[in-house]
Amino acid sequence: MSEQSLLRVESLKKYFPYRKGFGRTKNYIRAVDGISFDVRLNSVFAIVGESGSGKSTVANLILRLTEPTEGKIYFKESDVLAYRHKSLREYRKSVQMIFQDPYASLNPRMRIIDVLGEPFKIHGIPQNGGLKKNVLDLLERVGMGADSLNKYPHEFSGGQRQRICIARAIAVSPELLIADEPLSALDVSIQAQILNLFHKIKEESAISFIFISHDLKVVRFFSDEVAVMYLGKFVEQAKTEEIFSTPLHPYTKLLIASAPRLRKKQDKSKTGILYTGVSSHEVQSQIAAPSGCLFHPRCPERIAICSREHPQTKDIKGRLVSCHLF
Amino acid sequence: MVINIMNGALLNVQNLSVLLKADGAELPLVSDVSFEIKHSEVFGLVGESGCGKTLTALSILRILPQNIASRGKILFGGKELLSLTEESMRSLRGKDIAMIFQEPMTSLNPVLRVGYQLKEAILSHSDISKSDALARSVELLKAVGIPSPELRINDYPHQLSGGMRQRVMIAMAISSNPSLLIADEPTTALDVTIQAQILQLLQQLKRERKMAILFITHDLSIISEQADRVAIMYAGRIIELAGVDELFNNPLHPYTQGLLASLPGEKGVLLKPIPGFVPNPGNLPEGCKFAERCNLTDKNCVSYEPELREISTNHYVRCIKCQNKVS
Repeated sequence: MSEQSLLRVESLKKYFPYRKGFGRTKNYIRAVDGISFDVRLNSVFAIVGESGSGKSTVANLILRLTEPTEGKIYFKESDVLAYRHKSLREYRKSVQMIFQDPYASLNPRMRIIDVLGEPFKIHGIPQNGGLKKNVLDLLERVGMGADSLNKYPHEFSGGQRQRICIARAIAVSPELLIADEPLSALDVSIQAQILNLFHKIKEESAISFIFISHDLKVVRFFSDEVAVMYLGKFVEQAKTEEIFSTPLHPYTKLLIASAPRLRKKQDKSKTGILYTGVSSHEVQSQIAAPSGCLFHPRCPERIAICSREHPQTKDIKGRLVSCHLF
Repeated sequence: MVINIMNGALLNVQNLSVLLKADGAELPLVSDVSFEIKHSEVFGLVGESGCGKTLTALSILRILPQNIASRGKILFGGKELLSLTEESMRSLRGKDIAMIFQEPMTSLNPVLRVGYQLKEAILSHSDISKSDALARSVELLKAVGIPSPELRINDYPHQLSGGMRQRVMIAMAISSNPSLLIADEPTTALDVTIQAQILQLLQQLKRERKMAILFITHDLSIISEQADRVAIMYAGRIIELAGVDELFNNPLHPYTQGLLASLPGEKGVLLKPIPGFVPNPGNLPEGCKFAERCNLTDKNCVSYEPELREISTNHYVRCIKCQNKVS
């Protein structure tokens, strides 16, 4: 399994310290609390979860934008946390990031030719045919024309800006793209354009993805494997089809039941049966994390042990679940 | 274009246009919008950002910014809202027509306890004592599913989660038993499990209180579950209007079809997105506003703008390519 693994994460932890009131005792928010996973070559690994579950912190840790408290990250079997200066720069060339908000992630004072030329300059990539040609090639790959070259970001719509962000990320021919909610700022018809673009890039250049999203429809469409994250931990991890056809963890079931579905058939009882199993509880906060299983206060299937002990992660026919029911 | 005014309509919007006034000129942002909402029905208004959904809602309550004007007629309970005096509008706003917004944090005052804010809303529309208003606040919080409401009324907004804040906003909106609730993207800022709870709550309140809801969203799945009738908006116009089952089973306008084809379905099957992007309101094409993104476009489409026509019973479409099925 590990031969084909591109990126491997082992019991990764990130605790952020905070102080309560004026107290001297230091407490920790366990933003990421011991997660492990493999991103296989030319595959899409999705992380789903609600806000505050730690999805984005995982992305930041992998890129070493924040340093982990504990754990290991291996990129093609070499220790990412040991990288310094040159090797870190080399690594960041191989692993690129696309952010949620294309309005905030482009410098408003830079023209597109400068935005897209910068990665070539930073990483000292030889420019055959000149910088302009490279940038034009990039624009073409993301479906944009040469007329964009001398424009500024504000002259583009959200979808076009996201295309520019994608062009910037693939400029340096990365092996892994981390996309953190890349569609949530976009309208439905534009989302579909960008999703198709991701699909095309994946097919063309054999790039692997870590795809972070809260939108289950999109994850189901695009990913090969899914990890469901809840308060810093993975509660379930499996192949995409398996997660959606037979969710095991009660939280996964809740997420899938909560997602609105397009209803085409006449369904008179729709208000009655809608969202069965939707619990009335709110997401717990990291600060007041419950004892035992973090999900137990919201769980419709909880048993006595759930409030006392945190469940171990178990391997159920190749799927990883952490729940006392299994 | 006038849609038949059926008896029992609660709200009737006729030929509404919304204009941005700038440099002595008027830029139309919403044009020729007509629809009606019946008693205790959920009417969905769907479209992508900038299509005029929210402007339409704000016109109904007359809370548009100063440089934006609305024209046309909005009939509600025998009154024409756009010609009402500000004073009578104020007594109607929040009492007969209430509104909840997308972002529950910015809609609540951060320095006042939620109980106080609720009490204030109740007292502004009814003549009861302060202690009765407080008791009513507790009742309302209970009605929207907030646990231990007698303690929660003493909380400040920041002590509540996003879902709880939206519940408080809903409690405030229903405090005077409005006959119409305008919900503008009420769950967009919420997580999916919380969103399901709030949608369930809105359905329950609608049933219990026989309240009509104007539900504004960009999410087709939500509207297919929530609404009784749906209008799809594009570039400031309604381009299709029908009952929810008819609209999703038999979408006729190419834009509606394109939106539905844009939703991710089977894994790996490429989506069919609508090409191009929404035109800028200052730079709309001459004829059909969707013509340049549509694959059925011919010379007639670009020469004049189509009307919203009734294609089959109660199914209206703004497209000349749609064949009339009404005899």
